[in-house]
Amino acid sequence: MTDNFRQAMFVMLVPVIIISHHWLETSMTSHMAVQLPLLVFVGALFAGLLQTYSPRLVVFGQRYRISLLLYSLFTISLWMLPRLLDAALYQSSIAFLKWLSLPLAGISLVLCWRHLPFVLRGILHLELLATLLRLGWLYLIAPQRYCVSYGINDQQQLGHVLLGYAAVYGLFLASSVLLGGRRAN
Amino acid sequence: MTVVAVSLGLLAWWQTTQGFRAFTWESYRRLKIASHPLAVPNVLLQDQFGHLLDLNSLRGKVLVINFIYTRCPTICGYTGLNLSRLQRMLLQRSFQDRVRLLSISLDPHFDTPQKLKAYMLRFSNQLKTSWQAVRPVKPLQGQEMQHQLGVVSIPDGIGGFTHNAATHLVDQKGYLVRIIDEDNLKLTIDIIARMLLAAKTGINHDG
Amino acid sequence: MTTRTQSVTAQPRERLYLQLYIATTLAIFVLMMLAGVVMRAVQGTYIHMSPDWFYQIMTLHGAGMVGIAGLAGVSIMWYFLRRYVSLTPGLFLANLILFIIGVVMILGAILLGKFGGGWTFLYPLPAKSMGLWSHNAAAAYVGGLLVIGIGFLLFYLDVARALLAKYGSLGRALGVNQLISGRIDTDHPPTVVASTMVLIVNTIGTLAGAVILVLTLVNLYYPTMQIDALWAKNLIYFFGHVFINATIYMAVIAVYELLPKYTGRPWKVTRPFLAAWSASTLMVIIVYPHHLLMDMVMPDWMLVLGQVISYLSGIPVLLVTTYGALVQIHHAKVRWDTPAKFLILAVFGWAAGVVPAIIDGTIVVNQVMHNTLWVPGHFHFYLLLGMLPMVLGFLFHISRHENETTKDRSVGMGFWIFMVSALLFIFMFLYSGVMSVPRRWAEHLAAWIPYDQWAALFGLVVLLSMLFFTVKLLARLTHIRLEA
Repeated sequence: MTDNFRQAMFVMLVPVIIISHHWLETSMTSHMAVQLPLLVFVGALFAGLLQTYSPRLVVFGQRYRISLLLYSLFTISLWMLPRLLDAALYQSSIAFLKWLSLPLAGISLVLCWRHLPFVLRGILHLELLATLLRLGWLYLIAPQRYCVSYGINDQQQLGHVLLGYAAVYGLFLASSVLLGGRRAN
Repeated sequence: MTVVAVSLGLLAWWQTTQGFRAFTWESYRRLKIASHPLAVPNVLLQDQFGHLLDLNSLRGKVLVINFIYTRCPTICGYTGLNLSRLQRMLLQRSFQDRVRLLSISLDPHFDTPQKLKAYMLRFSNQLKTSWQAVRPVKPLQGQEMQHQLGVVSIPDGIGGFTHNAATHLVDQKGYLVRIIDEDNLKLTIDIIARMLLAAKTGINHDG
Repeated sequence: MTTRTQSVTAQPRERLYLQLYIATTLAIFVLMMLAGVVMRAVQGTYIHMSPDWFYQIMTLHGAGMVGIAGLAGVSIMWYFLRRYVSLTPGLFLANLILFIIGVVMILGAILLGKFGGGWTFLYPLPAKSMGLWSHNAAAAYVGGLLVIGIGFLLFYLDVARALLAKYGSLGRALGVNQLISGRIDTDHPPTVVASTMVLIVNTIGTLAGAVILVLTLVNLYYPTMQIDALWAKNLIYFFGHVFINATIYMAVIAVYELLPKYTGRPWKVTRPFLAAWSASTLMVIIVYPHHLLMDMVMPDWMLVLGQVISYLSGIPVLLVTTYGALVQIHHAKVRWDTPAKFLILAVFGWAAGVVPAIIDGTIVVNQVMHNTLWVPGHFHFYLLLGMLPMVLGFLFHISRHENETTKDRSVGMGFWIFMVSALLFIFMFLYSGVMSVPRRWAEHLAAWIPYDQWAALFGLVVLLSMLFFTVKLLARLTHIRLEA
């Protein structure tokens, strides 16, 4: 991605997320599968921009890569809990934390990512894929609602969407290693 | 540094899930209530005969509260059945004078006393018992109460609500102390018995 | 395109890791064989044991053998692959350490916690022991498998990194581009092709395992979170099928690399060789429904797929390997040392093991045979006479003296005793299967007991010969060379 493209995306996405927030939160599917990833993505875009303007951030990312990674992993995993999805609707403090912690998770993920070894990145990719499959499956077949604010149909739809994400993501990973644009030596 | 980060992360998980026990809002709410009882706000209610009563006027009795609406095509028939079973179990143990069962309507505009009476008749032809179906006289007051207790109902897309069906136990002092699955009658009656026993030994102490 | 990199100078650290792998492999193989012989002896009423313990030992034997076959396979793959790409020694060791931690967890679950739910931990059995074992025991077992899986994943991801660094894509490492362009690079190492295939299928298998193992753990402690039992079974058998198949595909590298040293003819890649490995990569992934032919709720098309691919799947790689091995020895001046004998036996065992497998993969047969001892018969054929001889051939080769010409007569004799007793042991499984003796039963009817007794005796001879090989190999452990 070029910097100009990043800037354009960032400038476009921030108002879109803010304006659409109420609408996205009316459904479990768009709340969890659209809004939360978008918040992380906006943070990631922002970090990408920052890195090009301040090379010191690269050094910072190198030095604190493990802490940054842990922060983003814990934050993202917490936001997969149905409990917080509900809480973000009824407790303004939790809603505030959502808007703060997830973009930060995107920022810290981008800052540490390039300093992580290949094997660790591979594990993270596979674990994310496995998590999408696990959560998607659970949401799809659970007889009870995990969120009080959303109906069972919505939850099952979310299950389908997460499994769909997993399929796309899996195909992306598979094609990138099987076909691979990169050629060393 | 890493240790600190891991500890902080685990702490955040621990806090959010009440020690890895609550992953949903409802289970979190139940654990929270069990450890921190919540004062139930007063609401002016109207029962199936049209009589008015303050919720506060029922202090001194254990209250078994659930939330229903009479047009509900699904769960409210099931919860009503469970409540009538619970009522029989209370009778067997002669608890009926010290316990009140309240089914509070989520749809007070539609659920007039006639509708509430019809709902009650689905489960028993005895209407003058310790079980009453009621509606908040001021709908806003009812909504405020639900909000404070954390009872959520959402439109189900076919004209009704998907709502919380759990059994809420309120102690003699007007505090919400436990929330139990609607079909777990054994646990419900055990806890009622414990609440009544605690009150009795409390009186003995005073005397 | 690719040239053989000069043999990497032996680093003592890596040699030590390999020795640890080998010692672990031999010790666990012997112990698990002992567990197997004990089961046959219990069925034969030579030993008395309560059914609870029988099922615990059955679980131990299954999990232990699958795990150790995987570990042995990794050591062979690592040993040869590091000649072509640069692997990270620390991750090779990490796999072993996680493996041992997992083994300790599984041993604790089975021996202390009395977990006896079978190595396949079929959902929801781990959570429904009816009091025989606790949730903690089931969790220790499932968690142990998970830890072992993470170890293998670390190793495979390191292999992926190394292959991508050298070849740019896994497609190239597998030789798909050569198939498409039609220009076959005969210098492309067979080891790289086999390793790439194993890497691909086992990473996908581990992913399925990671999904089902974690959800089984979740279900143990949060019983309200339930999953679909049929999907669970599909995931478990996909993961288990791929993992155990991959052990052979890793071990067969020893045949490609070592047999030429005894025949004096190089083993080059050919178009059929590359095509076979590419086809098998796909088929190993889609053939797993042949484990579920008795589940009538499975979609018909999957069962048909299971049967059809069963007929096809073993064949490509097996055919090129068997044919390749025959080309190697046909009219060649073969030095029939112990390793060469084991490697040829392995190719035979693998090829012959396909016959009972294909019979069981036929739906109409499967419906009457699948719950009989025919099934352990077929997989012992592959594993005891295919996989294990590959490992033994490998170990005897890399631990021999540099210019060893004198043949160890006792090992030579051990080879024949092992081969004959293993064949008879497997024959008793197959014969019992034909006689409709059920599998996974702690107690047998009186009419079946003579078969069990013969099997126990043959099994004992197999065990003793393996014990003998183990002693010999452990004594030669210090002779192991990284560039043998």
